Amino acid sequence: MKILAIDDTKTLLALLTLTLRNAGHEVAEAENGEDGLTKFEQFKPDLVITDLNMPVMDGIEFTRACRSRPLGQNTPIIVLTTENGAEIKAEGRRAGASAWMVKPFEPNTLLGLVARYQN
Amino acid sequence: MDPLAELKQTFFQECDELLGALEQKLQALDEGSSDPEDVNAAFRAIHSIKGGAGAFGCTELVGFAHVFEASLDHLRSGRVAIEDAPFTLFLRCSDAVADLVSAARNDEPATERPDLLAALEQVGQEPRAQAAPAVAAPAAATPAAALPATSPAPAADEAPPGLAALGNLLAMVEAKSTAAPAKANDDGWDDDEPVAARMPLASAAKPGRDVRLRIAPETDLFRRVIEPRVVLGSLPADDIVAIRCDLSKVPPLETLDVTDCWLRFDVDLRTELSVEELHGRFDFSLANEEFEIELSDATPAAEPAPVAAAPEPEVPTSVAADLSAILAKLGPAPDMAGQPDIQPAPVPVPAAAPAPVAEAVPAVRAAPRAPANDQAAARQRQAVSVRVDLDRIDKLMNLVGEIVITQSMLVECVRSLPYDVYAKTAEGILTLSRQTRELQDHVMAVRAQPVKAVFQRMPRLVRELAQTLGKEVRLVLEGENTEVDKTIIEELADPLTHMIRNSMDHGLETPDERVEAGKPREGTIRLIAEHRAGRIVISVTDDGRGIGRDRLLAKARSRGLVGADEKLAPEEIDQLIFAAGLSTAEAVSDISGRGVGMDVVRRNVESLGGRISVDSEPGRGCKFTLALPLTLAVLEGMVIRCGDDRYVIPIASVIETQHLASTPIEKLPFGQEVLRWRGEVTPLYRLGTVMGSTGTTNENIVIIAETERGNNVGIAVDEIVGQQQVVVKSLEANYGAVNGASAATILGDGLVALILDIDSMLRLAASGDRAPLSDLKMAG
Repeated sequence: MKILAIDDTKTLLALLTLTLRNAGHEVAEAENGEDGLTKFEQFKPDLVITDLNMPVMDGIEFTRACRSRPLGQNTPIIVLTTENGAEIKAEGRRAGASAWMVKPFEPNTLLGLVARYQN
Repeated sequence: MDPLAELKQTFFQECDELLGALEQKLQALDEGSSDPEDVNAAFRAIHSIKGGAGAFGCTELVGFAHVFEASLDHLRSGRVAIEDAPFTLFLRCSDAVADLVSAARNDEPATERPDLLAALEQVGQEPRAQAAPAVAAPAAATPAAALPATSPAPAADEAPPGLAALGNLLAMVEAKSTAAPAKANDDGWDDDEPVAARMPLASAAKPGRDVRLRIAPETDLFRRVIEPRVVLGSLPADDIVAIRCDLSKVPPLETLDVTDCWLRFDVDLRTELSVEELHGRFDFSLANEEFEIELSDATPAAEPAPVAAAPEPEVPTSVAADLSAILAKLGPAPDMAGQPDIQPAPVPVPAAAPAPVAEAVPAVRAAPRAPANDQAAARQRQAVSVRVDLDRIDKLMNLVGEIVITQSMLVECVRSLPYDVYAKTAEGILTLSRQTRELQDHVMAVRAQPVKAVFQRMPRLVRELAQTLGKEVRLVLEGENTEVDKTIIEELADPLTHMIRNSMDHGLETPDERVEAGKPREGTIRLIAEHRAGRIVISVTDDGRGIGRDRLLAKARSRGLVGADEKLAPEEIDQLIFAAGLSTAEAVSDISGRGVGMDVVRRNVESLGGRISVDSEPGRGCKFTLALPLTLAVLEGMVIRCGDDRYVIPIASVIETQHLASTPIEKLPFGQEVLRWRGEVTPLYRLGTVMGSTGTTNENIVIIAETERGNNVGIAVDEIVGQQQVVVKSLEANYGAVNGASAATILGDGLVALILDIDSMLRLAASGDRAPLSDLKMAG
């Protein structure tokens, strides 16, 4: 599965990528929402995993922007963040996020979630 | 190194950057910035540290960072006004985070900071204290207990299963496990229960209670790209007794918008999960309003599968639909195929039948993964950022240096060729030299770094010292973005630390003393970096009491460093601070004052071709100036000749050159020659005489050069040979220190030339009649 991973923390991004690649997924990386949108157009992922708190463009804005584009309307977007408040989750949902997962992620849990989006 | 350890290293490096940013932003806010972006950036930094720390199982760090983050969040959300925020506390906390990071990096036990946690907990609590007194409970010592009551953080966030995650990751990375991902424990960040521990089928024999979930998603479910099977798949497959789909809300086909979701699901479960845990399952995708959990009576279900047998008066509109048909329309669903109990409600399916499917799924998935693993690993090696050992860049730099020498040798050779050959070759050589130059610039650029890396460590030093010493100090940083070669950066930290310690300990007075002296209570230390005369010049200026010359001189005399009847100028006395074994501190403290600071600093700095000096004004303050070359590798130089010897003057020091004959020279009473340059009286030195050149000198040219302190001097030489890049070869390493020169180089003809150090040369010139002090300086 082609997965776009977005996180401004290089280490976490690398860890995420490592986890996904070891499970056989093809991964593209982006360091913030804006970068994510560019990569989204180029890479055309089957699934996006994005952080929330990022400079330039955060995860919510990214999700909103993604959903407003033809290409991004059918791609599941998993928010992977340490945020866990009801408000921010509701905002994420309104923006069009498909799933919400709280960091730190447990690799098998994440892969399980990803696998459920795999056709 | 295995990938995980490597990642962990990268994480710690990243932590350093993040800590720097955190501190810088907090500092800016502390100094009055009210830019919300500063708050956001600080929040993001601690947030990222926390995230990474969780991934690597640094539990203490996560705990502390979490509380810290929560406090900063109050600022971000505006619950606490920026002006009211305790930035001093935040800065101390950022120091504590730095300690925790370094403890985690060195695998040392972390020091707990209950005091800071308690203080952090208070941030943003005051307004609520009246409304909910229970919140203002006594400060707790543990991070988990110190969580602000407002943050509805679930258990998982407080005590992340970091170590478990690490262990899992290790297992995965090492074994490259090809096992199918856990299918049920999907959202289980609060749930480490191994899948294998579950019963294979929901049955009457299965322990647990009966739960009915009513799932009524908002119509925008599809627009959130959530498929019902994904929602249902987040339930433990083995706990599902039955699923019914309610199609009653689906509008007539002609009015149906296919992007709307009108499906409702009822799911019967026999599960051991608590209501909260079930909530957790859906939390990731469904809002609380979108599902309902009903606990059935504790009566165990008599028959597990045929749900139709059970009367359902509470769901009169429920339509038993062929779920698999719906699911087929929604797309293939491997995970759901593994769940034996999804079925049209009235038709019980034998439990055994789907079993082969369940087994087949992981097998199919595992097969293509094995080869993909190698490719994935190969891709990964490519994509992870390029970090290069300094060692490799050094080798590259050395090679470039050799090319520069070879190229200048070529130029020499070509000169002796007949003209027609020369003309052809010269063009090529010109291109070559341009390319060499570019190559060198690029290699240098790779190594250049802003001094920020070192400067950033200083605010903390100042804060801690201020606390220890009971002084009030403001540190002002300037020119943090001044770039300098990596090798120099590494050498800066030590002298800077010493200089600042010295200023804090000896220079600045206590607040009371300052007030008495008519100064503001708060002392100021300025740390400034700039490029000057081809060097990086860093100064540490304090507004303290200055150097106590009488005491310093008395001490120097008692140590026999200065003769009893020897007279020293005030500036010369100040320089004694760099002599070995001198300290005037009344009490030898932990901070400085053992007299083994500044002389060592000076030796280290000089061994790098740099210099440290001090200017003091009694009662007004003291300024340490540290000057280092920008790089230790290459130098743009003017090659000059004096007698039989050739020298290189760093081009950055040269202001202009002129004919000696056209320059009026005067002689001062004590023999010093001076010239008038742009209206200023400028001392003139004859290089051949100062350096003791061999052969007969016949000075024709004056080079006006700049010293590190910004003064100008004239240097008389015989001839300017040319201008070229030279590769710096250490004299100390290859030969021994030479006064007046910082290093040597090899010129195109293979002969050695000294690279002049203007300031050192001036000292050499001056030392002729001041031998004792110059000996002291050399020794110190």
